[in-house]
Amino acid sequence: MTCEETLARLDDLLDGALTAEESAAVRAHLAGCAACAAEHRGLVRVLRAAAELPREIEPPAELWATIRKRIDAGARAPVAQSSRTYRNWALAATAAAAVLGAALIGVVVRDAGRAPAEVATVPAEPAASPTPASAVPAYDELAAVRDHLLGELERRESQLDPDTVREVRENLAIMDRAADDIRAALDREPENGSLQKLLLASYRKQVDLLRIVARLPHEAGGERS
Amino acid sequence: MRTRIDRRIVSIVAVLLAAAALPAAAQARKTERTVPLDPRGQVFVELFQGSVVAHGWTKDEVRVVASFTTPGAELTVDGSTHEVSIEVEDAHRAGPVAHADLEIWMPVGASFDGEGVKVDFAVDGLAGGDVEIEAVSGRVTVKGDVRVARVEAVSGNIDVAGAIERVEASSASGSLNIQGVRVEVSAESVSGSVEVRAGAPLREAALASVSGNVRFQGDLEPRGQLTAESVSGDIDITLPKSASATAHLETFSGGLRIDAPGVDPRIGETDEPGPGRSARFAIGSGSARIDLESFSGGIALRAR
Repeated sequence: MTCEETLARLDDLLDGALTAEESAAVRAHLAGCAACAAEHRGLVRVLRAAAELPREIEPPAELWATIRKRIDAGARAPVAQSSRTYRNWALAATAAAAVLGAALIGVVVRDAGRAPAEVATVPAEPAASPTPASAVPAYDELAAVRDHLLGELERRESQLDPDTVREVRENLAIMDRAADDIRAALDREPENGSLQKLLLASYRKQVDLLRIVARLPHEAGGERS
Repeated sequence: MRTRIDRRIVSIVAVLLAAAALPAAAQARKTERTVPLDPRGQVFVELFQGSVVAHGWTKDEVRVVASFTTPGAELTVDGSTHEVSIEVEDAHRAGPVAHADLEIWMPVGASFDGEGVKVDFAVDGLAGGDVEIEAVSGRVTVKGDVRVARVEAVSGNIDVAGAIERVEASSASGSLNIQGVRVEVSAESVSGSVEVRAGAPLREAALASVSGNVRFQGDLEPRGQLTAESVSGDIDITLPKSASATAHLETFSGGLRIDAPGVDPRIGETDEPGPGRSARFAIGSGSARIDLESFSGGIALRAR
């Protein structure tokens, strides 16, 4: 089985929709192909993240439409040679961004509770960046979610414990520096799958940290989410 | 004469000190509650600042001893025989900002779920249930043979020890130290270190840090999987000499060190020129999978 055939069957494998024979063939390929195995793990992580989301929270209706539009646009766009990994990561990470975005919106909605007017949404049109890495929508999606949450942090900063805010900012700075270093390396090696993965992980960690901050109670009082 | 003056001064100081201590003693209040709980029940604890120490015991009840230093702090213990909820609120400030130290005794097989902001959590002596803790700046310690331990913190260190089936731990600047995990572990930090010592061959280990070092010591199940990634921290993996795994190591600008039976230690040095080193090799029959990736951190893999 080729990489292309394997990747085309990953969704069905995870859904349990393959026959035993097909499933065995895909698994045999995954066992011997690090690139496809990495794709498989990425999808598993996305699905796990989705499964862990609070079930009572619905993302805004327009969110999925926006993401669907982007995925469709991405699928129609010409794909450069050797960009298979890129595209699949982009799709996985776009889905991850959707999942994270929905989770974050959920958190903000839940946290805001009594003040729904203050709830912001994930920016619909993330700004483009000139580096090759950010040409992939996934990076921009995650960066948009992160920027949105950074705005939330700034809005609530005076209400939070200063020591916690300082710790958060220090760690965000560490991750920013890490992301800058990886981006610089990606400029030199735009097809390096390992660097792409590290960059996505770096963004995801920023989002994870900011997600926790979004749930923090006010220092001066108020209820926890 | 001088002696008399000195005595007078000493007496005045003593009286002043005693007077200062009196209000403090008056502010330190203690309260205690005991309620029934099923052996497999659940205890929820929510506290803004202070400490929570939870112990397992053989009685089918929960005992809470709360010490308050915040005037107006009140202990609330609610729930049923399946679930007990413990909270401390500040009646003067309309919110959970009170400071308290809670000591809790709960059925050994029950589950513990704690949330705190500036709170140190220590859980010990539980077995069979789950422990879930979310803290912001406190230190978290979990000791015992619980089924699952999930701990999330922003800046606190996390220590987990025991024959635990699954551990999920994450902290931003805190260090993670996990000992004795038996099936699966997921541990992630930003600037803190991640250290895992497995108590049995693992099915899955996923370890990550941005600038902290990642260390793993243990073995994997025959089809188990270990992934570790770091940006600038070092990754250091030690497997037993009998380990069987297919390993893939990749770093952009860090170094690779490999010390495993039957593997050429220079394998990572024979890659293509330019930045980036990678190595792919099998240890033993190669049944488990190991993927280690870093940006500038070094990667070391030993099988001893």
